[in-house]
Amino acid sequence: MDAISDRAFTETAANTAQNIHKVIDETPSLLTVILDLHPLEWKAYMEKNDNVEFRQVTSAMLVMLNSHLALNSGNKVSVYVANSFYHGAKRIFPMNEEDLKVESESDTSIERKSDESKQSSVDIDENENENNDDDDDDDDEIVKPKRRVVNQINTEPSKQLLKSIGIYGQFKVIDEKILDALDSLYNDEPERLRELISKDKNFVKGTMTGAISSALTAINKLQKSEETINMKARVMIISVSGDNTLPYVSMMNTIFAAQKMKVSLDVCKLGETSIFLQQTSDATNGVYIDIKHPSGLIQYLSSALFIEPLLRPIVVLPTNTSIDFRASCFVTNKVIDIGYVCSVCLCILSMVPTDEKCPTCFSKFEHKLIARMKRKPKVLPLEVKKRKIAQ
Amino acid sequence: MDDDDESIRVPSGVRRRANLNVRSSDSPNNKSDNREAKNGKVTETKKKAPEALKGVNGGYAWEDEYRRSWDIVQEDESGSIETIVSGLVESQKKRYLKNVTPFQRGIIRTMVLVLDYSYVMREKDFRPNRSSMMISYTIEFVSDFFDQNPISQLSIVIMRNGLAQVVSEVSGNPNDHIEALKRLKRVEPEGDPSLQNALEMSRGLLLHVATHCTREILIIFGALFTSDPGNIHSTIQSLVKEKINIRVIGLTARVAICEELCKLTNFGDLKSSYNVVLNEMHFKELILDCVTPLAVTKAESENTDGFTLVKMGFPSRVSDSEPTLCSCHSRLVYGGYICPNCKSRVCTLPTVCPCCDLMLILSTHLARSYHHLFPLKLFEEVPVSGFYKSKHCYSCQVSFPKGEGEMKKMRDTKIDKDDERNSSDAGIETPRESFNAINKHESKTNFKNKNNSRIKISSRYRCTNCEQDFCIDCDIFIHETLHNCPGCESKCTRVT
Repeated sequence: MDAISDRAFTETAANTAQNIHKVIDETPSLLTVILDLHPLEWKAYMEKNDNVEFRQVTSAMLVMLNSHLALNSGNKVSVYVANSFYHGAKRIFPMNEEDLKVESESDTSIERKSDESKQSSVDIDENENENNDDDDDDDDEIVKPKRRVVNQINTEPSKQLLKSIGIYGQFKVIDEKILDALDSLYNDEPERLRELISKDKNFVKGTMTGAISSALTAINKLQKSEETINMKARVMIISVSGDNTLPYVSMMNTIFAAQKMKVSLDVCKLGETSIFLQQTSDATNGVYIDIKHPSGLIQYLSSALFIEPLLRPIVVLPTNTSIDFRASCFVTNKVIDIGYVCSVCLCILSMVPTDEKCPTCFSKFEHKLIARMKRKPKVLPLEVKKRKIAQ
Repeated sequence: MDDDDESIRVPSGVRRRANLNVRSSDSPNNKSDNREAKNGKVTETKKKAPEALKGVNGGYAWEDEYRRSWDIVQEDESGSIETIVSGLVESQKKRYLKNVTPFQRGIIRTMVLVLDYSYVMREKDFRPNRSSMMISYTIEFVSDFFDQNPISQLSIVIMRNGLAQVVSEVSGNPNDHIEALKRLKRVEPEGDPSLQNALEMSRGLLLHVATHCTREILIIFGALFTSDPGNIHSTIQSLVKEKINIRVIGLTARVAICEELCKLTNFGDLKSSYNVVLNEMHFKELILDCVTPLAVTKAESENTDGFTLVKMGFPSRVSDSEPTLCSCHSRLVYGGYICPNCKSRVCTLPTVCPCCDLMLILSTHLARSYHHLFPLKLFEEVPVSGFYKSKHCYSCQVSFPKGEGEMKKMRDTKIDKDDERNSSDAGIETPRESFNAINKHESKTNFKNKNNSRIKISSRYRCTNCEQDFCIDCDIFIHETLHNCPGCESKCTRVT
């Protein structure tokens, strides 16, 4: 009897709870976290800050995910990884059901085989590219410390800690899944790194935009499906890599897409300040925070970066208000505040090109106009009407 | 029965899709309108030929053989209608199939928007009436226009009482125009339209525009006549001379003078420049099509003078605790942007500095126009087959419907689950025997469901670069808003 009544009670409770959510404007929301896994950048970052470990960051992230879930029964989370050398960008939670089944059911040997075949195909591609990476001189050292970290993560948190401590079931499931996924990622990573290094210095591009793009498509799908039509969403990016790993045009495309969808992109930046990510969060009404004290990451994540989309219009966001919007010259890479823009391809130049041709699209500029731009300002003897003269 | 009527309309959606696949750039359905006004004969015939009325052979639907909705939905081999129903649902979602060849486009645009505000706009064939619907769509157009063409300028002119009146002057600030349009809502449409007056007025507005900008006029024309003070043909000649592009969206039927106008100012390209709306959705589509910048014609790109280089300032943003006056509106604002040239303060971007005339812009604004210059390749529809390699959409990870061969296999081989799993894992590399069997089965079903072979689709759309499969929702989203392929971006090696 107890069991039956119990179930009935919980069911009605759930139903009423849902109704309440519809009546009051407390719609559930989705939190998407994108974790930057760039191995080289992590290594550099950890060398600079002795007291930081990747483990701390993941555990802080898990705390944040759990607290988001605890806020509302309808809340959802998803986790992506980006900049990983082996996998590029990938969703690690929630995994597609069929993928999970395949992974659990199929033998490891089969998996290995398919992985190998994948690798070889990728390798062929890479051989065709002959882009060189500049700073790969101390390659062998890189792999070893990574291994150590991997081993630490591998054994301790996921298997032992979670199972021993009594925690809320849903949290446990999610935490385990995410940690397992990260484990397996990191197990692959050193091999991949070594391979990349042995195949004479290949160019690997950053995949942060890929992760954001996928996250946005998933959010789009979610907001269009009937069950979760009013679902609000936000994306949080935990980034360690610098601006050089971000492809400019695709990053801008993702920013505008997010802006149109009214999805905020929050940025939790470890390491150096990133101008692109600052602009990202500014354009999408998000929060940008440079983490100065990585040991207190949990605090940052659970306060400044924990603002629900519904609260955004009310809360004053803890973000910088003065942002560097200056552009960089396409040719000299100098940061400029007054520049010249080609009317055909919109590339930004810091000076008038000497050959009077656009360096990117090779279209010829009008000679008269260039001459006028190059004209030096003249001091007129009389105070006639002041004319604007371009330098 | 109402429901049935709804579903009968479904195949027209399918047809529309088929038509779109042929990449006919204009809507296939305005042929009837063409016919109506070919001879310059402006009749009072139907304003809209609902596309649901169109039949397969290009004729009207009533000339077709009648097809019942329940004939279309047929069970497949397994007795399930799931695949067909999902196919029907999907065929109604229109895929993004625009031309994506990268063109040189006139990115810096100047446009005059001419709105018909004569008494014909009081007509109630659009709800609540023509003028208010036109204005609400125009507001949408203005915000989209500045969203995608951030360094362009716009002006709005109305035709009313036989005169042309400026609603908003040429400016690059979307809010000015939207405010003006909202004020216009309170004005009642009146009198006759005068095309010549409006054209002369827009010509005057576009006269001083620099050579690196495009000069465009977009006319929304509801009437079937124009009352002009002089010879409109000479006006058209001067427009041609000044290289002004004119596009017309007709609300009623094709009018000979508009046809001539568009033909002469667009190098004879009538298809993209002159269209008549079929219904509200089509109206919206047509007006939003004008947001994309025009491709530069060959003659223009080969011009001898060369292109221009524009001097622009990239101001930095400041924030103050005390409000200060901005130099553009003299309003009190907290913070704002500082012009790098003269250090005056402006409150919104993009704008032209009121003190030193320098064009002020954010670098992100420039980046907004990039997707017109480097469009994303279209995805290819994966051909229907028994087995598919991909199980779920790459980006949103929603599962795809299974291939028919796979479904059959799942039913037929009720042996071991593991065995079956392995075969589906292998995907394309299935043993030859089973593959043949599937092929046979495929052809059989095809033969049987001759009627709805068109409906059967794989639901997978593949990027040709990274060879990942996407669902229709993601395909639409990726091409319309994102302009990034998640598959290509997620690959850690550079795609060549």
